[in-house]
Amino acid sequence: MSAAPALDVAAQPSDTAWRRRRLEAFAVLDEARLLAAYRLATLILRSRDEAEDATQEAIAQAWSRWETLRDSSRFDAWFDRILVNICRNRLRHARTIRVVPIDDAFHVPAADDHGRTSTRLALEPAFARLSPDQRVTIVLRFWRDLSVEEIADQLGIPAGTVKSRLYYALRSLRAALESEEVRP
Amino acid sequence: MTSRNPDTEDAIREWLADSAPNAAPASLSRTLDEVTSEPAGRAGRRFARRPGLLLAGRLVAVVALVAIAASTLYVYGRSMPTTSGPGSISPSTPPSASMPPSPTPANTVAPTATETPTPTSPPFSATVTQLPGSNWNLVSWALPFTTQTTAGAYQQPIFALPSGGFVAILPTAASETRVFESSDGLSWHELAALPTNGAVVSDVIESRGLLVAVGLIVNAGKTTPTSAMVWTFDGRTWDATQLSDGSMANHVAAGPAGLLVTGTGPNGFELWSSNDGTIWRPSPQSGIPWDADQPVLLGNAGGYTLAQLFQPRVWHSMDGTHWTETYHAPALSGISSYYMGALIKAPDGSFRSFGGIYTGTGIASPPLGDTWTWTSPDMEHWTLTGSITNQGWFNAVAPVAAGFVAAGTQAAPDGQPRPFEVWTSRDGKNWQPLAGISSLPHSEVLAVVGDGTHAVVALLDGQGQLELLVGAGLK
Repeated sequence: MSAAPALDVAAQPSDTAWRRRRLEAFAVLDEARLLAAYRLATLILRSRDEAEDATQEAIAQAWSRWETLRDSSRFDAWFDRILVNICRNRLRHARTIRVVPIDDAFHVPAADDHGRTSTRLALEPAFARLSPDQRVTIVLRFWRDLSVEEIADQLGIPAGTVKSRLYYALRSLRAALESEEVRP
Repeated sequence: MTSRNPDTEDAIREWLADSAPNAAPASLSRTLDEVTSEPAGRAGRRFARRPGLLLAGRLVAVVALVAIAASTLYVYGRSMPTTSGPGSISPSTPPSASMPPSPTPANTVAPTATETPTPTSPPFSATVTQLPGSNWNLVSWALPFTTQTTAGAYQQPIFALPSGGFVAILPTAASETRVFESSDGLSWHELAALPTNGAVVSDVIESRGLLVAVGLIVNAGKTTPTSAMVWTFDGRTWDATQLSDGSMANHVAAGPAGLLVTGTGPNGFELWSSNDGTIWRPSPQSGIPWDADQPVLLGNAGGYTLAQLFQPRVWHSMDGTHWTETYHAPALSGISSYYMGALIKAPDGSFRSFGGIYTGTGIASPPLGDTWTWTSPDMEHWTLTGSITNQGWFNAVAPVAAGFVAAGTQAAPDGQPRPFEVWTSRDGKNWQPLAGISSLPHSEVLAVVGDGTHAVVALLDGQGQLELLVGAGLK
């Protein structure tokens, strides 16, 4: 994207204030924010194609449901919530959870980086086995660095549920790392 | 491997950072430009329904009407079996005299009559283990089709039937959706599979001898990711009806105006209605805002109730068309937001909802494990009546003749969640943990359902296997 959407209010067929406000709100979706959204979706879905579709869907859905944004200063959190819900739904509705093979879809560590490669080998399938909600929670916590309360606020769920999902997801991932560690 | 793995959390951070893409595809900017430059009339309809849908719907209706006329047995000649035995189907019963076939007005859709595959799987070898000191059993391998490799494992897999017994609707890795029935939650037998691949069922009711399931199908490779669907089962055959392309159906209820289905589509809240469960039409409505957030639906002879659970609001209608808001949760000082749970009918005829609060950034956490309760004498008017302190987090609650059964996560004194917990209560206020649960390995609670005398807690164990905790004699 070369520039934020032009705020050419005169070009709008109906010069209503809310339409102007919506355009202004969406002007914050610059290249950096689109990349951040795409990264978030990629890490949750573990597929760049799926992430591209999900981010496009989030843009369209956010535009059509802009009236649900009560506080324009919370645009980022609101947009992320839409995107995360789309990712969760895609995971839930996918017929199979794909375990993305180690291929050119993601960066492959250098051959001498043995520890990182084995970590990756352990985490990729273990992450694929997590529930959609656990995946989302892990990415928000360890990629976005959100606190438990911030994740609860973002997802609209009790903080206790976030703690529970984190606890059991981490336990699964830790078990995968430990099993990789003892592999000869 | 010789080197030690780094700390788990650091390893996860590193792995995520390694696999994050460095650039966004150009299509995202193009999408943003296209969406934000749409003329006002198209705003919000990026994934608009295709113009051919109505025509296609009418064609489907014509074809289906012919099929229905030729084989009314499919739709009206059978009733849902309510007793079970391995491989058995109850004898058919004649249709109710109060349920004549409906004329098909324009803009309606009817089911496509599809030959449903006959179940071929052998009986399952379930393992039943009685919990010490209780009338509850842990049932493993009763329904071995749900694994963690299918998305359906995370949907509600089991539904209670008002006439008694349960149905389980489970997607398989082969994209089939298989259906099972049980009278007691312990032994299950397979009914015909849904005739539609890629189906995800979100709600089920029994109405006038038909089993009615609603949900969605995944539209692989299409711009509209899902289609809202209704499936009806007459005891022998499933019929499928596509309600809307680009939407998903969420809940179904029966009331004075027939069957209603709620859903969510590109333009927000959607509603469909049917007199008989077979012919469906989009339902006009007034009073429900378009952005109502996937409200749950209840119905009985006194009308219909819709409830938005997060930021709770409740609406009521007698005819399914004109809705009046009967409850709007007030803002409470110091609390970011709170939520109602599913609306359930209590044994004494009143209605209950068990919810809670969540905190926003910068707001102190509430006491661990508090649950808030709402009550209603009539399903229409709701009042926040109290809280259950420090009990745990209820994932789901179901009514039984003896009171209520809840399942969720117990909070330990150190603040860490403990393995799942099951509680029972006679009055909905005082709850007791179920004996013998602490010896079970951790499982995630998927659903709690009750048919009056039995309760089934559906669990997903650490290997992605569906397990059932079944309580009997709950009178």
